[in-house]
Amino acid sequence: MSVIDLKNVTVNFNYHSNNYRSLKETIINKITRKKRDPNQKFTVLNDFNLTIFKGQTVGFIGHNGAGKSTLLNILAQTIIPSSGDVKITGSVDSLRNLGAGFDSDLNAVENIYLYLSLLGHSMDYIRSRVRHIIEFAELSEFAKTPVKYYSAGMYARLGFATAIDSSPDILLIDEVINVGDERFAKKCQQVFKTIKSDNKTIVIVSHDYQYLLKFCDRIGIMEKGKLVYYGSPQDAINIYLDQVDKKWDEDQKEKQDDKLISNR
Amino acid sequence: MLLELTKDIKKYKNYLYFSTLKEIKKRYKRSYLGILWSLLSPLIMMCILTVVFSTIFKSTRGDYSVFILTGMLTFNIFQESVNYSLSSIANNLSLIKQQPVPKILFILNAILISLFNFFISLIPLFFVILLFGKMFGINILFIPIVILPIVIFSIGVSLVVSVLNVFYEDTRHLTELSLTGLYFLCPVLYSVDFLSPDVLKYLSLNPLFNQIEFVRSVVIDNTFPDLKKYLLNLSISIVVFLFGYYFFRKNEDKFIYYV
Repeated sequence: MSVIDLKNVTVNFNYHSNNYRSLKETIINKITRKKRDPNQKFTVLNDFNLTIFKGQTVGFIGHNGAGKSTLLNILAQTIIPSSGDVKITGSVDSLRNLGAGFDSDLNAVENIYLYLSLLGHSMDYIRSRVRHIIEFAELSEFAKTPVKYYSAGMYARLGFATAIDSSPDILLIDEVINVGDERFAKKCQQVFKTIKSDNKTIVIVSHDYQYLLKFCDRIGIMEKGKLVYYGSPQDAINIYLDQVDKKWDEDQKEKQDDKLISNR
Repeated sequence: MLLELTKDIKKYKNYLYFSTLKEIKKRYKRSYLGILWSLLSPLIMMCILTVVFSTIFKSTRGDYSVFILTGMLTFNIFQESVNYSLSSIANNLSLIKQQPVPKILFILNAILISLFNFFISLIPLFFVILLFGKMFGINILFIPIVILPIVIFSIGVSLVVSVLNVFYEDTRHLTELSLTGLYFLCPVLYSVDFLSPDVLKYLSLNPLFNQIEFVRSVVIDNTFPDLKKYLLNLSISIVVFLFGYYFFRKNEDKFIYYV
């Protein structure tokens, strides 16, 4: 049964979108009926098609700017595509930007209440989970300390433990794989294995191809907003590494050409 | 569309509770007097304004302190809601990027904070009423009903400014100026009796103008406001709210591209 179904999904970003517009500019453009330069629009995902089945662990790899994070945003339903159909079946949670939504002035317990209530959980449920999350994050001693005094590792551990606790049907992971020290990282990997064995769906975006090889059933290679390959992990990594070598050679050649021109 | 709002409020009621509590705690966390400031601030402000207006401008009202405090607290519902909402979307960007949360929660949160401040500030108001030897009338119980139009109106305006602030940086400056202007265009510091009928005709077109008078009528005059006037204001507030809600829902999917 497919749990993620993307059909002809396109996401366009406007260049303007990255900047505040001024009211003056907008009013003048309205009066003079000046339209925005169409070149300022760029496509992050281009006619993207994807089907992921329940229980699969799928990885996506690609160069920076290939559209991997935008794909996760589409799956997390924080971005509505410019066109195309998105069908997601089941609850979704993300392991991206761990601790997003935490308030630095609140302690671990308060932040857990805040975060889980944001996911729409009941008070009874939250109350029943707090102790478990704190223990998993190994923060029992600092449960009442405002998180602004936490080390980066402690903060990430709390973020990980809170996000993973809601046991979603679909888990999205963006580069957040190894949290904390070696021992805690192993603990996290154990959690992933449990989630995988529970027949949950995992979508991972990462540059760490060895990790993807180890965990994924299928790997997709993304390039300029398109899925250029989707299939066996080993084949995908081979193709990707070839691409990386090729790009490296091209960059080196370009640099040498530039040097030659500047020497003349 | 409104059904969706009801569902969101029901689902995220715990979040609204915790985030409001968090903001209130944060507001006073480093101060020695803590939440006492919520009681002291309006009292101190009232004292300053009473001295200025009673002594310098020779106001003849005996209960000027009660009069001014009622006006200030009522206007503050609107002012604080709008001010909190203004940057609420940008302040919650990391959440918006991570979770598909209804963004209207952040605006409702701002309204709840301002309502909390209003109800806490009623304590110094009641204190001042007793101090001036006045008695509470039964109509004081209608405070939650008479503030309803201003609350609904504030949500509507807050929804609009929060959207505009995402798209245009100018909104902050314009809103601050407008709030200052509105403060003087509303009968916060002066009584409507001072206004000539011509001026009153125009000023009373502002929904906030009447809404401040409604609260005064139950607190000071112990009378429920003119029902016709009240219902008209409630209707205007509902229209403003519906417009704000529609405007917000229409634009909320674009926020992530701008903030």
